Amino acid sequence: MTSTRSQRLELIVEAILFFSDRPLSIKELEEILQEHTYGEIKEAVLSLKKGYEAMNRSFLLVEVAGGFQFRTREEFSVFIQRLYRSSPYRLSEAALETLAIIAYRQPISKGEIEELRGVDVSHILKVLLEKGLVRVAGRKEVPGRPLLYGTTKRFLEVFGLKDINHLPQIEELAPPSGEIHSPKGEDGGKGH
Amino acid sequence: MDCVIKLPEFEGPLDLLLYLVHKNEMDIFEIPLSSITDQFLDYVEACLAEGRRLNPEFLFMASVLIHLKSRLLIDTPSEEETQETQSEITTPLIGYLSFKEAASRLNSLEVLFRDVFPRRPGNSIEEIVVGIERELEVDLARLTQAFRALVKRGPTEKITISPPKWTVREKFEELRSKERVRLRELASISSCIEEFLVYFMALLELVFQGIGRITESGDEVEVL
Repeated sequence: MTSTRSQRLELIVEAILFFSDRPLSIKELEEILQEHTYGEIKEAVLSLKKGYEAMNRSFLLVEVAGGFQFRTREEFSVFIQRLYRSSPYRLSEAALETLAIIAYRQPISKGEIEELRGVDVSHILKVLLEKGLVRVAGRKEVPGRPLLYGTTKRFLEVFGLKDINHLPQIEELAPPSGEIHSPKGEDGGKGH
Repeated sequence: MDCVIKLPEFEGPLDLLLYLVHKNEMDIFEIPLSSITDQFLDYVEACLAEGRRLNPEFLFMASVLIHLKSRLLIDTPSEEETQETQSEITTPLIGYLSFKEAASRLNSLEVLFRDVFPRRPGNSIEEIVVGIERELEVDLARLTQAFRALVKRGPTEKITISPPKWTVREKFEELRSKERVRLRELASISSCIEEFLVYFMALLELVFQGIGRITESGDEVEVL
């Protein structure tokens, strides 16, 4: 790809991502930009991401939930909150703990969550389902076939995670069955 | 307030003490239980005096520790048994504590609409751009919601019960032959709720078998 062509592609990608109201994956960009290959688009997105980091502006191109999205830097949150009327994202401690259990142990049944938490979680589970952070991920093939719960793409978006393998690493929560693999790549050490 | 325990060899929150016992970095026999109980009671009194709610976790942890030690004292067990009893009691608790840790780690991430903000959502991109539709994460709650909403809007004539006129198989084949259909269309071509229900079940079957794909645009559900 000639350099002007790749520069042009970077601008096109920038325009689309600037306009989008949610993270777009490279695959989705490929669907729109059919005249370019997946590899070219990926290169453009990553170069754009680096470019914004280098410019040190108030927002960044962030890789989240399998896609890319422009987001303001954390240090400016105070000012945005003055503008942004609805209350910031808030979960009770109990809800957060339940969410953590689901995130690290998914797919998990309600009974198994309750075993860990020691209390009934029906209400919390309902709240998490309504907020779209948790979804029904199937049924467990044991008597009674209880529903199994897992996290959603929205969960990744809200907590700024690339994918479920990028959960903060917690020593005691090393996956017992290998369902969640330890993070790979540059921010794999973030959880230590 | 965290209740801080002070012992000759240890000073810190009770959960840390328990953690160290679990990790065998402190010997349970060396822990002066009466001292912990005293400090625990002081803490309870302080909480009550200030009208604060008692931290139930603390209560739980204190009792685990006391339970643990008393069992070991009564049984005078072998080294191995001690080990077993110790982990039998502390393992579930450590599990719980590690999820508390996980929760606080999640909370310290850059949380959307609290720490970081995307561009303000205007029109959903799906409404404007043709060709990219976000795949719906199949979610029983949302599908049921969609179904209920359509039933409300759907035909209102009286239903007469008669032998089944429609089968899921038949509707399944019908839907399968279509490239794309809107849930709303299905509601309008259905003569009654029953028929719509059969359509809906066929639709779920399509998705279940991996033939159909449900996407969302606005409040609509589509099958490809």
